[in-house]
Amino acid sequence: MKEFTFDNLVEVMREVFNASGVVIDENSTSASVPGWDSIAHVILMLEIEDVFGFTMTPQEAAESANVGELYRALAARRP
Amino acid sequence: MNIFFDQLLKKAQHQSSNIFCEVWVDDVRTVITWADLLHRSLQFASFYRQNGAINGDIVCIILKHHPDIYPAFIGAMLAGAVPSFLPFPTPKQDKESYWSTHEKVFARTNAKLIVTYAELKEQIESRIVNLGASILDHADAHGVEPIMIGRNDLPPSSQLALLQHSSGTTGLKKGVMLTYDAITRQLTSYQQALNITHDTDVKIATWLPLYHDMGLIACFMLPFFSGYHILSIDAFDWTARPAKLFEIVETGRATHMWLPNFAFNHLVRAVPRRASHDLSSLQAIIDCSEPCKQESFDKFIERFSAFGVERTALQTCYAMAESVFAVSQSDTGKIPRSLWIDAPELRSSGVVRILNEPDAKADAIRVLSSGPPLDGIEIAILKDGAFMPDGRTGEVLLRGSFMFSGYFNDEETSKNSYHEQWYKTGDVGFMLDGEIYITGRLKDIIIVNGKNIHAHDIEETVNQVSGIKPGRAVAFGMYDEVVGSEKLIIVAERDGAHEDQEIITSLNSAITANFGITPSDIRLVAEGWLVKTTSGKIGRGENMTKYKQKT
Repeated sequence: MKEFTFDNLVEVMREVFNASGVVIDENSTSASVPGWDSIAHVILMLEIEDVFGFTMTPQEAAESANVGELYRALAARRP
Repeated sequence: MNIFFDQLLKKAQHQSSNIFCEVWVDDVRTVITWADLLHRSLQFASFYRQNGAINGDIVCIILKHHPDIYPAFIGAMLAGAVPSFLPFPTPKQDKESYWSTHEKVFARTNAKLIVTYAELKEQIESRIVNLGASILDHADAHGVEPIMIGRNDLPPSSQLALLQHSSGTTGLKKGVMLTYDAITRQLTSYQQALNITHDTDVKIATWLPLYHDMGLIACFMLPFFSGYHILSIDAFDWTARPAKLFEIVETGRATHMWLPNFAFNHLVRAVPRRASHDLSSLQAIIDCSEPCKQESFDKFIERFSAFGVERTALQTCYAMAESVFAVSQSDTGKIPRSLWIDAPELRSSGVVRILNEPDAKADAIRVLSSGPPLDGIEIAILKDGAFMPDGRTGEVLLRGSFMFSGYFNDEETSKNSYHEQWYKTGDVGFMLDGEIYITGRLKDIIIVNGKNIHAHDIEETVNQVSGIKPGRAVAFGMYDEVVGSEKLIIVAERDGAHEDQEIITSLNSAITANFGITPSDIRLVAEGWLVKTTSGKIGRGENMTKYKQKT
């Protein structure tokens, strides 16, 4: 399992959304990242589980206002 | 005599406790028996009549996934009115765009009633002035004394049964008019193509919304007409947890499903690896609404044959609202034919040259047959004004006994969609050995996850975003093998006055809000990057080639 860090989370997001050239930072949202649609969102949460060993449901993740909040919400779930 | 309601009347009387539908909303299951369906539909019919609906009046139904979606629709029919499902607004959707589109639909259809949920009723009342229609809360139909009707009160078979709204340019929806005659003929023919009858024990598992033709016809009208059993979950719930579909298949012993191609891929990717479901009851899983892909079938079987899915259950269908639904259906119980075709030959001459799989080159394309046409419909291929023989591509034309009666209050569009007595689909394909193969589209329509969007409409929206040089943007679709559908690509020239990320965010938001589809890639390029055709227009094909070279 990979260590759960912000940079590693962003790397997973870039992979899932195929977004190598797009800015993904704490303030990024699905509105600012092309490829981050509802299907990709579900795949992201599955990939997070595969890579880091824990996750949350897509619905729970959708409550986060931005990537920063998502990171902190996930970090709180870290076993 | 209108036979459309026969099974409802028969089952409500003689098999009243038989289940018509099981509806899951947030994991809460509601069972609707045939007796319940008749009772609630007659309540809705009474409710509509009390609110002034008479024969032929349009009733627009905007409801979230809820047990009332079925009786609200049938009730309108029993009242002699003409129902039409419309989608409800979603959180990411641009509200102004949604209301602007729907206000036009209400006006064009001269809707008499709009049936919706309380929250949306308030929004409609506050947003749309001079609305001719009365707005009703579906919950107010509960407890209404059901209307009494006899067989002689049923609408005649020649009457308009429903309006099916399909996407048009700039989001304006075209209202496809379908009579009871057309629907019952198509459904009867479709039953034959599927080797099922009214007496077959068919259970349909579905997440498809009813405002799309596949959901409405295959997963509501077909089971209603035939006396089958529906197992229904919400589309948004399914997207977030696709395994839910397999759960209802397993517990309900579903026999049939209809899915757009991307759904096969989503199930493969998103059903947890540790999950296990018994799907052996499924006789047919029918791929439709967007191009069917052999790779999607292969991945699905590789993953789920262990769940009891047989390869022969994977089937294809070519359909559209203008022919009620299915135009063709692959032979159930057999594996649909798959061909490798010489792509350069196809592009340059339209001639289909079949390649042996071992010889398949990188520039070959693989096409799946969508099966033979249903009884009662004919398919022709037209190119440059001439009808093509087998193995030559052109525009797919249709004529038959269950075609639509035109677009509601839009005679010009209705007339322009015909070539002599043939309906022009805008799809490109070829016939071979009695089966239709779809290879593309004439119009620049991009199909993302089963949803049709016009490239031109996307470009118009892009051109209005700050930071883009007006008129210097192009949108096109590229097939994504991982997703199993097309992805939307936008290439646009910067005007040099804004930061790239600001432009990307604005573009992404605008497209998502207006079309309900998120672009997969937004490539901002320097002024002059986009290629023009010899006629001076920005060529989508040429720029897609250039985009791919840069990838």
